[in-house]
Amino acid sequence: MSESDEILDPTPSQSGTDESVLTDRPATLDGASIGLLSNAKKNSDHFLQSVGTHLQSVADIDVSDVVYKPTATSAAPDDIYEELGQYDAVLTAYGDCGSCSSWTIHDAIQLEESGIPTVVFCSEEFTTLCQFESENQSCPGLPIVEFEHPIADVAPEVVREERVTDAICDEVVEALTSDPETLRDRYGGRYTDEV
Amino acid sequence: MTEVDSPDGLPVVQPTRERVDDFLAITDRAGEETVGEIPPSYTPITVETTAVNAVMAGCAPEHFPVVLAALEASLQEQFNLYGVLATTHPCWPSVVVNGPIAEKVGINGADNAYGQGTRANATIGRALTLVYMNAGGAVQGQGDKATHGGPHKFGLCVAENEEASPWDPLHVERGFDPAESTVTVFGAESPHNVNDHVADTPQGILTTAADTMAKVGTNLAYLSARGEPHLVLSPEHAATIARADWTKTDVKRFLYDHARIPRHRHRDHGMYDPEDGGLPRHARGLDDDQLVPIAASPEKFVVTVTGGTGRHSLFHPSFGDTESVTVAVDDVT
Repeated sequence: MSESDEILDPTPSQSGTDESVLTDRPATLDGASIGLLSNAKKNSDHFLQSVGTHLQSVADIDVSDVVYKPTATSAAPDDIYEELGQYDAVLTAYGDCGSCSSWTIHDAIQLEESGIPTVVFCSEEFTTLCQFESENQSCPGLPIVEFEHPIADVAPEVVREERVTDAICDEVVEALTSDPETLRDRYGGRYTDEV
Repeated sequence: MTEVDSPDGLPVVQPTRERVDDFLAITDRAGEETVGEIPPSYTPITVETTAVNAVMAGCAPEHFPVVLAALEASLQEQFNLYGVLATTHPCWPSVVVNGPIAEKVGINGADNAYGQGTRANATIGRALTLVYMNAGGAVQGQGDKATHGGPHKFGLCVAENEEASPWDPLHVERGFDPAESTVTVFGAESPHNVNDHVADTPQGILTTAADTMAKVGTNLAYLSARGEPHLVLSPEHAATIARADWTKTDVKRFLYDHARIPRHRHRDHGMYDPEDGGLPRHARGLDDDQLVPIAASPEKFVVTVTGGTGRHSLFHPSFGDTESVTVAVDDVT
């Protein structure tokens, strides 16, 4: 092939980083305060409250009222990040569409960067997107806990009694008490490898 | 590497070194310069790799400055490309070109401008799409989670028909000199037709337009805090409106007052949240019979004039949580 026939690559040579901004976790949740961040997607508040109630049944935990973002399709305003900074950990819900998944990941990374351990809840249909984004934004290993899709067309009691499972709550405890290295082993490539 | 794949499903022009160099020769920008980091992967892309994608899309070298400017415009924070590319909503960056470069490089703003038939229109938008797929990872099922998508996602680029407009074109309205060339990107759905062959007053035509625009089910109905409803008037509709001495400001005011949805229509639909009334936020506390505008203020409406003969206009529903961005385009020699 002559030089003039060389075919160039349309994909960039650089890619996302492997570094992680995951913050250290406590060894136990006893005595911890946990903030609940909803992006106002339907049932996300019921989901968070139910997880919070479950956590309170297994540890001495103070759980916040639900804090709502103004819209799911953008980042949370800075004052919400500041408000959530008072807690020992944050649970955020949820990704059940494309843009809301993206911005939920963004919020979680902002919180991790400020030293707040965070767990993202995401519908099983959007975990691939969430992990693709977290791994490309310096946060491989970000705990992304999946739930059954769809969730917007079920009643709040179904969310509380069926969608928030014991397994999900156990996973949250693990995600908030494991060290970043363990989380990276557990979540790195967990969903993207399924593509 | 002997050939490249087609990410959008259409055949591509193979990006040879010679072809890419022809594109780079038309800009003063260095090939190794970084244009930006493309979400949702946030992978950095250079001018040269952007040119590779523009070659693949079928652009001519003189189209490349428009591609570069449109890409940079879409990367500005207020555009929310992170949300636009990933969303389940069927939106995508759409491009409107103003100023002398449109005619110079053959961007159509007249008959069938939004349709097939013009190389510049077809390929400039496609070049952006290829960049978003190849660099941003906006690939269906992974970084692009559109439920249906839409034909505009192959690429959408038109010129404003400035000659046929009775008003200042979009770029002049936004502070640019008429002799400057600009590109404006919108996070928009495919346009929807507004047919009015009968009305002979501004109020008549714009009532038809407002009725087309104000529907529960569009993202704008809920995300109106930032949303920019975009009305593309045909030259004939614009002429009828201007004949009554209406300015573009008058048009926007009328649309703001009339493109409205009764509050009760929002209840339990769209993004309504039974806990607090949900979206749009400015509708909370309103009585059921009160009318909710689809934008936060008259100034948020965007009015352009594009198209040829005929009494059809177009409405571009928006993603809602995105603001259009206008930037200058480097001239081509």
